[in-house]
Amino acid sequence: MYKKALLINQNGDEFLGWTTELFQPATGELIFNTAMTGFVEILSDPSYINQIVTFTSSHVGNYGMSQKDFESNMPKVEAAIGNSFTESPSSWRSEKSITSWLKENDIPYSGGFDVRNITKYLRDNGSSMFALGVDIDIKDLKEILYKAKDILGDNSAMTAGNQEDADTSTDGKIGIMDLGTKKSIVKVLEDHHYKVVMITPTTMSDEILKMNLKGLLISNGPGDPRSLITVINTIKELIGKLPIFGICLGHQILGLACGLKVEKMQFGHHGSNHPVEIDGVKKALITAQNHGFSIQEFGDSYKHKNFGNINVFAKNLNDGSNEGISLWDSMAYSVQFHPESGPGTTDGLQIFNPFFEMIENNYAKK
Amino acid sequence: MPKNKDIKSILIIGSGPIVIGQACEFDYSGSQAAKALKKDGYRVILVNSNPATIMTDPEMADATYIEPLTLNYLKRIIEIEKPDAVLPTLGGQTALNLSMELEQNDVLKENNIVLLGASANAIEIAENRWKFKEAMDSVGIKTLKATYAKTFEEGMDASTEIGFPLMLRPSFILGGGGTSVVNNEEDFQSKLNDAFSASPTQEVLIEESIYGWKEFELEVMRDSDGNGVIVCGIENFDPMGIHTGDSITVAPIQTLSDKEYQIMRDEALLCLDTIGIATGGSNVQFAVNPKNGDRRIIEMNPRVSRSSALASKATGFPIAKFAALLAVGYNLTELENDITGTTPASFEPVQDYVVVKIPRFDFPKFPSTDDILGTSMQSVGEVMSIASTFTESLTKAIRSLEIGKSGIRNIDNRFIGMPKEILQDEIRTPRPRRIFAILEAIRRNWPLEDIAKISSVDIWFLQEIEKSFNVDPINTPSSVLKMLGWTEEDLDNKESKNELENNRVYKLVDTCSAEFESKTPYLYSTNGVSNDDITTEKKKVIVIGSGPNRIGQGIEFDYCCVHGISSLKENGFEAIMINSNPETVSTDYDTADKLYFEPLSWREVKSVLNREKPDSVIIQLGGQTPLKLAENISKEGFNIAGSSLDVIDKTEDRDLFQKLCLGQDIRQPKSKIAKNENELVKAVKEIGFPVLLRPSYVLGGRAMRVVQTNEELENYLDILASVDEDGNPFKSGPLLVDQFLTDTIEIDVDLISDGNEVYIAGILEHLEPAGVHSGDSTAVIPPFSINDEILREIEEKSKKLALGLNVKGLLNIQFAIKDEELFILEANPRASRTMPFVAKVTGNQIIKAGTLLMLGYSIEEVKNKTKYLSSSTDKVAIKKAIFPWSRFPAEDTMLGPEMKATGEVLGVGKEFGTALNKAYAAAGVEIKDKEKGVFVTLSDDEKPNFIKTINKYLELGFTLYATEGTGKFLKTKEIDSVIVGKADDSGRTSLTIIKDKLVSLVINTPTYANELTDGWKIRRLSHETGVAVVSSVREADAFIQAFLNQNLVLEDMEVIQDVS
Repeated sequence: MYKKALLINQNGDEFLGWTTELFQPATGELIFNTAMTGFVEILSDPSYINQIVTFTSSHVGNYGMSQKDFESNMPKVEAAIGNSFTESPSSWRSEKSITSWLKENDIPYSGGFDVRNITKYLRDNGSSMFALGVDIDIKDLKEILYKAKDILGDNSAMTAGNQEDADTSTDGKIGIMDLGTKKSIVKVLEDHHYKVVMITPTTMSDEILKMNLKGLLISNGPGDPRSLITVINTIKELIGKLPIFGICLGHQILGLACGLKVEKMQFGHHGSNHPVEIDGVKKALITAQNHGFSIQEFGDSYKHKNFGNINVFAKNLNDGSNEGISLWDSMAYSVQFHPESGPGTTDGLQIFNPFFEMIENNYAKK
Repeated sequence: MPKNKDIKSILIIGSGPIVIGQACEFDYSGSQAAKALKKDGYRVILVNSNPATIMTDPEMADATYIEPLTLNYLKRIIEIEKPDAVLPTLGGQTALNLSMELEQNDVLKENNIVLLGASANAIEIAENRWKFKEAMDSVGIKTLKATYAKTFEEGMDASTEIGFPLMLRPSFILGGGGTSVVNNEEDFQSKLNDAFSASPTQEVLIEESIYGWKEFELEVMRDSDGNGVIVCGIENFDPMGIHTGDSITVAPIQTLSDKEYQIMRDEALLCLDTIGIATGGSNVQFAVNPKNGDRRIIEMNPRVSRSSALASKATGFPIAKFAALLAVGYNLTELENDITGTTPASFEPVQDYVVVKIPRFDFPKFPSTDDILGTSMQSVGEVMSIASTFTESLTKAIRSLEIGKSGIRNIDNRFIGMPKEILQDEIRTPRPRRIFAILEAIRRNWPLEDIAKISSVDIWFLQEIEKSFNVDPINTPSSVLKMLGWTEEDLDNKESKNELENNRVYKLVDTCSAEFESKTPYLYSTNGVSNDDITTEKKKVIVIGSGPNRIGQGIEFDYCCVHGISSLKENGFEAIMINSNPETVSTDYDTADKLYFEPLSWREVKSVLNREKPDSVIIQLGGQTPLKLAENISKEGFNIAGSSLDVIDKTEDRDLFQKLCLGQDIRQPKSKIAKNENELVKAVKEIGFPVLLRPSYVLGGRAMRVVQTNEELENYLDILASVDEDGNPFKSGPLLVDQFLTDTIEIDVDLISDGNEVYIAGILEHLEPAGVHSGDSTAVIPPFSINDEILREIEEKSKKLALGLNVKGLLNIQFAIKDEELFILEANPRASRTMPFVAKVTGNQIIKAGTLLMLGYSIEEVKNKTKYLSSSTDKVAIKKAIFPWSRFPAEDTMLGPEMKATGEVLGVGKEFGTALNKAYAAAGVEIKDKEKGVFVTLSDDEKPNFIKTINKYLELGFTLYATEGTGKFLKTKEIDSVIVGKADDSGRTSLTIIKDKLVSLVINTPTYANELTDGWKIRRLSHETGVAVVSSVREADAFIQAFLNQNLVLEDMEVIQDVS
């Protein structure tokens, strides 16, 4: 039997979908992702904590779920909505359907939405907090929405990481400031034969310096970067002291650490097809992106009193937004997009190279 | 990188006539490219032999040559135009091959011409199977394991190395015959022996078998900076083993995970890099083993392809236009995405809809051919549909096919009640109708695993379809029903029908799943709650297109639609197009002001009309398809532009037409209508043999036959019954029975009329005798053998008929002249197949003018306000038909009243002989190539008629070859000939003289049969080796003129822009 899935926001705007499953209501910032593959990766990416993801792809989950595609150990989105979810997938890789995986983890999902209608709404009105409920009275759903944790000021990143891994030996490894690290990032480092250690976001800079790390990677993660004051301060104290590379949220943290402004975007970038131009690289990269905040424009270059020149070395070709900053004088740089893929193209893998070069040069000096 | 400033002029080579595998998608790509380069300031020189193309319209290029696509003609054009560059990648395989010929003959080098897009070396690697394999192996991309074996031992070794299952392909067997799949060692030895004996060269290709693997295609664009994007990924519903042009295909890819897709993407880009494709669009095909994801690259087309057109229409990304611009040095980051108008072209389009393409076939026209699909393409057209789910899209695609099916739940009656074993076989064997067999099996609730196993169709597709059959319509929301592919035809009561219809909204194809605002009104209907709206205040006119290409209704009608649209736009109307054919120019997003990519079935058309509320609806341009909708459009209260419904009735209804002709004093052959077998027998008796039979309301002479005996009559009914799903020969309507006039000259008249005045745009005389369908015959402008008196009578009767009918817009009339007497055969109050040809060669824009007449302009006004009717020419133009014989090796190439041509070529010259010589050359018969020899084989009754003609050949010094019977007869007339043996004899035979290029012409009057006779073999071989075959005195006499003018052809060349 089909039940109504109701999606509402505080303005009283609502969208309707159809589902055959009953779920507990969920809340989160409603965003849309235009990728046509990579559903498992997206659903398990910790950056999606406190978000309801709208898949614009017509069909979701045709090829099922494989643990090989996990970006963490379970789905991390608050809820997923789309046009049509596949319950019986077809692929030699598939272990089960995405729908049963979501069900097992009590993550609500529903098809039957006019996803283009939602996308246009978000495009025109900006993304905001929504609540999703199945067979529920609108009043009750509204109440749930009021209690929801807003995405502005959301500091979920402090606890989004893989906590268990936090206190192994650190010597000669790459440390990852773990704000909700995607497995694909770790994999890239490991593929280049580096050992990796996860660092909890509350770790102080002097502790980190004692670890004798080869370099520090500031990971992706959920929520509002501006709320991560301790992390920003820690990074500020580390810049120039060891090679640093930031990805996505990590990029924004690096920016904030050097005093750049970060603001909420209208509806963000979520998809696998965004062209990015890199200084000195002829070819534009087709990149995967997933962010709702961005570093504000500050011109092409800016001289920081402690860190030296800060340059914008990467730009989004769709809207000109900032995709990368470099502090070469201080051995640090970061990108807004996801060079590690998972999902998305492998175009960006080359972006890790300067990090590896800095590490080798810096380590050789020691 | 900015554009290349060294290049100022560019020669674009077109793809020539429409043939199977190379259709109007190349008119679309050529037009896009020419427009883009011209706009960018290049001098664009264009050559194509196909007159019914938008790309050869004068305004598309600076210098357009409608000349044969052969090395000699291209050399001459290069000599005249001295282009700086040649763009070889937009005219299909034809242009690519010709460019390679230019390269190999040093024409490019000698003239300092650069090849744009792909170097000759890159083309060579991509096109040569072994070089390609080597290149791919060198970078670690897996190709099919394959090796040639010349001995049994080599074969055994190969089988061990490759492993089973494997495929045996004997070399040099026409049409891939003798190919077999071997699953184990026991079978292998005997099958290997069979294969060796089948191959004339004792050589067998042993190849890893991937039958049943999944097939994918990636459309790639690359620029000289190395930017590479995948424009579209396409998944074939049908497995490997069925040509992708004959497969149902789906975009985007549905059953690949991101990890698998990304590896495929990397390999596609690496493939282009490795081969050295500098810039442009390429198509890369992959096979994937569904059991373990094992992957092979199959091939790469170093050019814009049929799939590129589909990918462009599926995503809104103009591949051909960009390919042209990239070739001259731009890069993707510098080009703008036209659809959004704000974002760059260096991105990968995403879809929030599913596109389904279904090919359309015309097998009933080729009765000797089994309709089993394989690796050689046989479809003649295709439809594309866009909707929110695979099933909704599949339903729309089935509706678009125009085969009377309303969707996935409307199963072919042939399969309902079919015994299990037979249905299984229908699912196993890939035929055009297989999709309906699969639907029936799903309806019967067969386990999907079984269906997937025997069809090799991915079970995901089957599961989606099954949802549609398993749903309970009462308890399911109407929007969910619509998503599952239900249509109003599937529901019983009006209320639920309305509810379903209320879920129809229109959305934009916008390249980005609505992430950015789109300014381009390219729309499709689907299930949903909100419309993407872009409307204007202008006066709106809707043009209804011609749907999928089929024999009889092809590119010519799309040409007419595009001209109609141009006329509307040039005169201040908002032009709105509805069509379902992705290969066309009319479905390019910037052709009309607004494009609806929709099935041309009444519900979809009605819905667009009600949404747009146009001032007028144009139904005269898209062939028979829009005519069928006329009554409904009128009933719904919309204004049909120009000629009223009444005009259609009067021309299509036999009785009314008879009355009209009688009233206007226009003679007709005797005719009757038969609604059943009894009436048919009676009618035939009254008229007398031979009679011409055909079903009413069809185009292109579908199922049209000349019948001479009672036996042939019965045989004809059997054929009609066999193609009908219920086995009823009268199901599609009554049969028309006409007296068949022999020894006539056929005439086509194309005219426009405003109701008071008539403008005759062209009178065409056919070269072939009566009995050859007008679409198949050679047509000449101006008439070359009829006297002024009859010409005047033709003009006068044409005008009378047009005014008598009160035609407003276009009219095509077919006449036959028998013994100086004029008969009318039929009249069509719409665009005709010949109008593009007439417009092109006379320079008069009759379709544009006709469009204005439909909207109430007078001819006087058109002449005053536009330049549409101000040209004149003194050239002779000859149109020759092109046939798909190479795709159907079992067919006789003999022509008859049923149309078989897929395309046409044009020859133009100052004289008849020059024009005909060029038309022959464009059709693959280069007269100069062969010895001065003529081979004559005549039926007894025709022998005496040819004496005069044969003597002419002898006077010219031709060597005369003849079959024994014909030779003996000639001897009695004191004509000596070289007698040749029968086809199967040893020594010099009718076939060896053709093979050895001893003759340039075969004069053959065929007996009516479609069997493996000597005549069959002679005609087939002539076709394959480019030797002309004629069957009448008129044609044989005409050939002499073509022969005599062979040295003039290269001197008699003029660009179309000079016609005025």
